[in-house]
Amino acid sequence: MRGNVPAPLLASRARPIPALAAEDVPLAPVQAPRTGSRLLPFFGARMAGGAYGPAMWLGAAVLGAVVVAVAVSVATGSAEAFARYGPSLVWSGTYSPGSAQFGAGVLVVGTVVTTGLGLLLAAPVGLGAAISLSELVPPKVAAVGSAAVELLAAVPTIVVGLWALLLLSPLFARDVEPFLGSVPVLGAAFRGPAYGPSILLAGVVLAVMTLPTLVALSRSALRAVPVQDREAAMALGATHWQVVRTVVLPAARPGVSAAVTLAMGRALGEAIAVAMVIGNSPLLPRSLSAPGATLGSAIVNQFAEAQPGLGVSSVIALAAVLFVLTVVVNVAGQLLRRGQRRPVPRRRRGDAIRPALRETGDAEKFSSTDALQRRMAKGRVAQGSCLVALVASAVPLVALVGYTLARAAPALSLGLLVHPVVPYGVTGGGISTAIAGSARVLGLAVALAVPVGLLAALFLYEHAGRVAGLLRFSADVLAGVPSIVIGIFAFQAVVRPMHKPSTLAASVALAVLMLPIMVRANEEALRAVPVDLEEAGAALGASRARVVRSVVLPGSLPGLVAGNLLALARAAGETAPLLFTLAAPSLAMTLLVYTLGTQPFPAAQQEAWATALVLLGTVLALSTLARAAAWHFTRRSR
Amino acid sequence: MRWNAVLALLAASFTTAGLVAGSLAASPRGTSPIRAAAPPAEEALAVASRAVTLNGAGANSIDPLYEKVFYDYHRSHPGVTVNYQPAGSSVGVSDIQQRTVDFGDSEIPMSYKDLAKAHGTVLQLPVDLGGVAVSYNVPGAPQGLKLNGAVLAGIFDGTITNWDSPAIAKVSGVGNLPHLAIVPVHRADASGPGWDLDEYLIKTSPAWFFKVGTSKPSKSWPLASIGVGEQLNSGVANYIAQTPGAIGYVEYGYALKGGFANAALQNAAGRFVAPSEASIAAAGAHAAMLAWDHFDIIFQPGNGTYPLANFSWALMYRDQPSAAKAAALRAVFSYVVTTGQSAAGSLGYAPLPANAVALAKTTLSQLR
Amino acid sequence: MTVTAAFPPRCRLPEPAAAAPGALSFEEATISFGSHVAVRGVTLDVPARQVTTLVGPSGCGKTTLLRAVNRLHDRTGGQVRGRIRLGDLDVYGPATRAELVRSRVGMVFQKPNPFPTMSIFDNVVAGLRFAGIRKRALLWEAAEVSLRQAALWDLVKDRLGQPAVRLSGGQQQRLCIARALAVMPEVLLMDEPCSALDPIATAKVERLITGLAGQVTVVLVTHNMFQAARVSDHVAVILMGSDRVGELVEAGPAGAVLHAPRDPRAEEYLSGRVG
Repeated sequence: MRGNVPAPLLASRARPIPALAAEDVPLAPVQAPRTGSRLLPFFGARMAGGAYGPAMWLGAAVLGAVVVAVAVSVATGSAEAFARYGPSLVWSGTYSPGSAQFGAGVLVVGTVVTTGLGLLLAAPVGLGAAISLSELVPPKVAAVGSAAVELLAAVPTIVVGLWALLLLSPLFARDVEPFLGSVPVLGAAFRGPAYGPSILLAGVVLAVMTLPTLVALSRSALRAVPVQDREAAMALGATHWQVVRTVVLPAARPGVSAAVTLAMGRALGEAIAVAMVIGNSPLLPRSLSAPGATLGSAIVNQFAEAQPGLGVSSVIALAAVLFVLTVVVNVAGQLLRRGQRRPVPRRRRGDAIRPALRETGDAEKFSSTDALQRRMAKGRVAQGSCLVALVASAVPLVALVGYTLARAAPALSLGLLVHPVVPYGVTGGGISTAIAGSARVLGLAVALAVPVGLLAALFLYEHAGRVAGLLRFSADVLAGVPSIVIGIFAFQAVVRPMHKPSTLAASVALAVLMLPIMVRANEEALRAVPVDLEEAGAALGASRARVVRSVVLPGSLPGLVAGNLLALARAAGETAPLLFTLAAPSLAMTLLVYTLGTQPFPAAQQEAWATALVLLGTVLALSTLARAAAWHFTRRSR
Repeated sequence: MRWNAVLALLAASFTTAGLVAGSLAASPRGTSPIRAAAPPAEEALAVASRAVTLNGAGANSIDPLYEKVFYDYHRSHPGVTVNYQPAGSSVGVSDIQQRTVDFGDSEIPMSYKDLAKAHGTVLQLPVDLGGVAVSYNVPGAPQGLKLNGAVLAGIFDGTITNWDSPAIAKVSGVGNLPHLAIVPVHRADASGPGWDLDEYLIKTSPAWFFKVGTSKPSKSWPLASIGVGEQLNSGVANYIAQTPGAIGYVEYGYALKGGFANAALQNAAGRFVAPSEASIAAAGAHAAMLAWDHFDIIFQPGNGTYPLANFSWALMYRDQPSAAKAAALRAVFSYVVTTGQSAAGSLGYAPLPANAVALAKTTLSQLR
Repeated sequence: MTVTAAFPPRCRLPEPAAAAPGALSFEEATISFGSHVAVRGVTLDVPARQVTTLVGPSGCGKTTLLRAVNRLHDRTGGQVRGRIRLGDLDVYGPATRAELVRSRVGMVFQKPNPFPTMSIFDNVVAGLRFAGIRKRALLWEAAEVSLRQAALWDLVKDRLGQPAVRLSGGQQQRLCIARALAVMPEVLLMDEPCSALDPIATAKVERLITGLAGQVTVVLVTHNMFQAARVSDHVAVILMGSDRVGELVEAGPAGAVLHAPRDPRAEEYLSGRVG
């Protein structure tokens, strides 16, 4: 805390005034000591005047408008389909665009089943791994594991999809599905021919995709349980596992359930990686090894080519259903966290106090070494399961990264990075077109999203009450909107009015995607600045704008940088929003991975792996930078 | 503070209004007029510098040819960049209708109904002659397995489920196919190849006709619930390459690149013919009355004719927003149907026959 | 007793209770973290069922010494050499389990720390549940008895199901005391239990501490000399030497140590504070 006092604040009191003249700006007015950070001259200049309030409101207004616009775009886009088929569209069972039947029922079931399967696989393993990392393994192992997991949370889903398509799918068709089908009892869920692409494989993809996020967020929730609570339990004679189970886990439950909700939202909305491996058969799933379809995969397959009018409207109706589904899940998750069940007192059976009981030695019996051994044995079983989960979660992640490295390494060269994408049959090509394209799209998206994100976060920081609450809620809603729906929004709002796909359209999509993440991360970073510092600034007579500029913003700068970088890393790995907004697949790395990876030719696949590795490297670098900034942040505020 | 609030409200309402109006105008029912031609200044600039970017989208089947030809064209004419998004066969149609691209491409030209939904006169010209291969991955099976409409229909409607089925052995004359489950693969998206095979099966198999219940072929695969659906030619080809027992239909170019075993299909003359540059060219040679509303060359006569052949059609508005764009389109597509055809053979297409080239050139001359 | 004699008895409290249940003794106890020594060579007998207070300046190692008794340093990498005995149990003996030590030693922390996810009732009986006691009657009885001991029963008997964190700070601290008493410890360690409380709550807790003498051995750490004077039977003074390592400089009956310390360093410290 002490270390976080901005030096100038102290300096203005401690140092004699002439010392100020020795600073960089000799002309600084003596009566108003320079207290601002030199890193933010622009914002500083703007906010020194009366523009601060309006700018904040503007940021908030844009954020609100984006949420409204996404909702309105989806609503108006799907209006024709709903007008034609009525609400039964949502549950009607037949989905066959060829014969103009667009019932979403089967797709909703497919979406729920794959998501459920993914979480069923990922949540227990993820929680176990998080417990291991937070409570069980030695600190050094935990540090390495936690860092790895946080980085892996940024792995683009397209890479997971590529891995599943090229490595797992044949494996599932040949070995996994026939094996599962032959297991007694359990096999009943895996009946039918083993195709490879299946609901099961989609579930596995979703599990692998959500696992790092689950582990990382659960781990930090567990770590956040204060040490005095743990010590209180230890001091009462609890074994290590008892501390974890009765104190740490209940206290971390809101955080863990937030992690699960987030993972569920991501899984519900994942479109491309699922479309790559689910087999795209719009049928009620008869078996887990049968192909299926989800809302997201159907949108990927049908949106681009749907006939204008009813066709497009029907696909947007699927997006609307998906939108509502994710919003419901997120809101329900939040309510669930808020409505924490309170422990109910056990009713007394009315027996009088018998002091004799205290002298019977009953209690003595329990504190014997034997009883302790039994308690510890129980704990050891649970701890063992957690460690197994840790290993189990490491296996797919190591396999994913290792396989990508192994496949990409032979294709990786300097030429690949500097030469443009060339057509099949032409030699000497590379991926520079895609790298430049991704950089353009991301750069523009950052330019669009960062100012709005910062201003809207300042608004939330400065205002309490209903407007701020509503805005915060809309940011959360927007954060839960599947990226494919945002892609459709950008197509409707930018591509169609402009009559061409463009970098701008793709950037708008990514900016909308990043905005809510940035807003929430920024707000958190701003709030992390101790209030007393702020008050110290205010007590010196500075205006609100000046306090924010010279105390709050500099204090939270590393946090702001970290949050924005993380959002950028997330956007850099997105494929679905680019699908309908860019002119060619060679204009972004993720799209190139998607297009090349699905080609049946070794050369194309190898290039896809190489691109995937470059993409992975980019995302991991951004994510590492963010961690470094955050680390810097925590170190400073300690 | 009060004027701050007012200002913010104003800003909020303007932004919202703008965004909402944008999305409303863009909604499928929107009847907003086509945007007027680009401002003159922009146009003059484009002409002066001759830097033009053309965006196209559509059939996935023609993608290898387009990519090669556009790449070559850009190298000889650096001012012209052509982007092509191979998003699927009917993307070209819908993107042209929504006017989000400069040209579209579809193996099935736009029908009168499709044209009615466009914002102006659409020109359609043939740009390649290709074929659809029925490819399979059966260990131990020979190249050019003989199949006819009845057997294919049985495979794709789920009545023939194993490679050692007597029905296959009888038609193919190969008795030693392995005992291996058949995995039929179809396109998950609507596609030209799907239309072609559907048309072939309707023409050759009464059972298929009754099963799908229509004599009109569909771009969306009619029996999507049987087997596995994959996206685009590449998805289907990839799946076939990975999965023993799989059979599916892909553009011949993809089968050629993938080194697949392709079925020899029974043609109208009763012969079994495998796809090749020559057998596809033979089908094209029979397209005497070729026009956008007379495009079907499935199941053509002739001993050496491959029954699953088609043209791919480029779609573009007759009235272009700028002279530069019109000129660029005309130049690029003249190149595609002439010089560009030299790449056809190596990529698994047949060069356009002379009458198709003539049709394309006449059509292009109407661009303005 | 005989073991103690083997070491030069630098400080000796009167009437040492040899191996009596509840008696606590330190024998040349040295606590270090890595290369940093926090407390060195403490030899001290804490008499059973009386209140013994550790006083000394901040950072002298009082809390460190206290936490060594129930082996809370095990997880933070603290090393304890020498010997600490609890009755007949060698706290750091090779066959001694930390959990067993802790079930015989209660602890109350500086800041009230009731388990935030548990109700009042669940907080009180948490230690018994840890020990595997599931009998409802026993739990209820223990809850009532220990809440009465902590003078909290009448206040909370009608809302035992409410979250413990809804209580005021002083009540929370008394709840923590009740929680520690529920396991019937031989020794109760109290680490500045009043530092986060207002004067009224402090007075209540102090009254509680004096009331507990006679039932349980209390070891109290405090900064507050007045508090030490008010509640202690015995006082031990811990001061930092020139090398910033905590050492026990004087121990004895409260009145004698506080008013007439024999050690000059203790005298200097106590007069600076008390005088």
